[in-house]
Amino acid sequence: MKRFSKLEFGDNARKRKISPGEAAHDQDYFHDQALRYWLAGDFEGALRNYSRALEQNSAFYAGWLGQVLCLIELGEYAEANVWADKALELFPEHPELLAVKAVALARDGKMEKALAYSDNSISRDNVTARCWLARAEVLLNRKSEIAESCIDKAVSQAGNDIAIIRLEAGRLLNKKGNLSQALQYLQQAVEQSGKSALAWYELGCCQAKLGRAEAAVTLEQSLKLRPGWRLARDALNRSRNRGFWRRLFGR
Amino acid sequence: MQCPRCHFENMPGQSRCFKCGSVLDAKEAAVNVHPPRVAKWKRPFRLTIRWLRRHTKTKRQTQGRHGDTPWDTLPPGAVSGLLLSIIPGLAHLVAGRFSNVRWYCPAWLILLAGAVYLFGSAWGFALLGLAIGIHAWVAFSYSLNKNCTEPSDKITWLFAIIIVLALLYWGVRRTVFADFIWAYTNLTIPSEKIETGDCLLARRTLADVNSIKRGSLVLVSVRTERNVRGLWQRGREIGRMIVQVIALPGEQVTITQDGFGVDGEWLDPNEYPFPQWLRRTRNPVTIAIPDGCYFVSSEYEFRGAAPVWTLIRDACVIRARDIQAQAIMVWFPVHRRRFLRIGQ
Repeated sequence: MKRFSKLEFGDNARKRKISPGEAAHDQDYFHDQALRYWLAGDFEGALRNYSRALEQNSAFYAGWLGQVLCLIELGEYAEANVWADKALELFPEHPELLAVKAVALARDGKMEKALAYSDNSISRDNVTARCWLARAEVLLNRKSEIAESCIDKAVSQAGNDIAIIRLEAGRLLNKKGNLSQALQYLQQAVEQSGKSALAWYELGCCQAKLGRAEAAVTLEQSLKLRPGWRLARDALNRSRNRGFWRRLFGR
Repeated sequence: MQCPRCHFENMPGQSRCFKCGSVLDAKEAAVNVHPPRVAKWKRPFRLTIRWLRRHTKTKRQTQGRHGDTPWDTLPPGAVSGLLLSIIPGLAHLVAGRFSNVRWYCPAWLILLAGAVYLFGSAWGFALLGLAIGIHAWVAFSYSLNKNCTEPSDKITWLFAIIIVLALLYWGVRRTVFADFIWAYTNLTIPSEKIETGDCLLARRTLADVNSIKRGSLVLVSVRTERNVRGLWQRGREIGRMIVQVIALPGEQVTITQDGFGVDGEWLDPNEYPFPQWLRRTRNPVTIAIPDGCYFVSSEYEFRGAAPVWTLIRDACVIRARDIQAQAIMVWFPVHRRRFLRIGQ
């Protein structure tokens, strides 16, 4: 019988082994964990937890959305696109999934497709804040002036997720170089979710780009919340003018 | 069974919502919930392709043209290919033939990185030569390799491209790295683990009053001197030398057989090595450093039997304008390569 002991049959093959003594958690627990990781800027960890939430319940919508968002944050846009399609099979024509697919396409450089998906997402009935944020990102790529009004709409529709939406809006504007507005949103995000290393990091980066002296303090706070974070440490070194290339080429 | 999305009440046993089509109970469906991931080595290529895609789209949008790519507007033939091949493989990438040179471009990058890492040594120059050769072949293979039928034409073109690229690389080195100078030192500083014969990397822009501190290793131009009517005058430059700054303008240096003293404070010989030729000093010598001058030390080799105090005055007190650069790191040997701490 020994040679048959390692054979896998049906769905048992897909189930993750639970080690003895490990507490059984539900999808909400893993979703909360994923959100914590996301706010700490650890997108790999967040993706892992979203996957575990989906292992508990594969019809858990927030898990699919979170996975696509994490893949986008990790720069794997083609994979995010594929995964958004898969999520759309389970939740057809869902506006948020269409919106994150638009973001993945836009970041992958496929602007026309991104615009089409974004159009599709905001033409639905139950448009959420994330749809407007995605719309803003697509329009910012096209240097459209109405992008800012989309961000305003997103913030006004955020509801309970106002801190996350402000953080996302700040990150988006920071990335696109609209630093003064980004600073406002990020400061509000930090006030609302002070334990988020990601919020502090983004605020610190924004302040550093603006040449503000408090950037180093902000980035140190980010490192306190998530010790050893390489991105924050590099940003802190840059803000202190002590990076390798600065030392070599800078004065 | 209620739909989690639209809250429509479905019949029991339904796997999808009758109204919106959402999955109701995915336990039976056995959906794979682990997303696909990209391999790490593919990420740089993805970044490059994405960058190109974005720029292609932007150009098309600004031109207001649809259907054909903006690359179609480039002049056909070898000239455009050669111009684009200033970045190896770019012409092939634009033409959709990158697979023809897919091994050459990483090889060129590796060789170039190796050449920069070993720059200044024979191996560095050898790697740079190979990198230029591969770059030239990539540029040549875009269109000239097929269009030229005569072998002599091929060889002529290939050599012409090699010469142009060599000039281009030389120009890049002269402009981008104009600030840097490599020089060998004849000092041994135990605290910095610098030994005689080490090659130091120095920067020209750091050779100013604010940057030079006690202990800084600086590159000075050594000039011949001649005595004209009792006055010492500067002659032509005969070479460059790495020296260590011992005293700054306005300070007073005392030299005995044991070491240097600056403003009454004795310097640690591990950090400020005392050269052999100064051990000939029998009586202590005290020198006040005038403004615009520095007291420096190095292992000079003197011929003849001039008095030591004369040698000290001529070789150790240098003018600020003779300082050409300040050393920032040990470049060779490679296993001891690092930034300098002393005098920084």
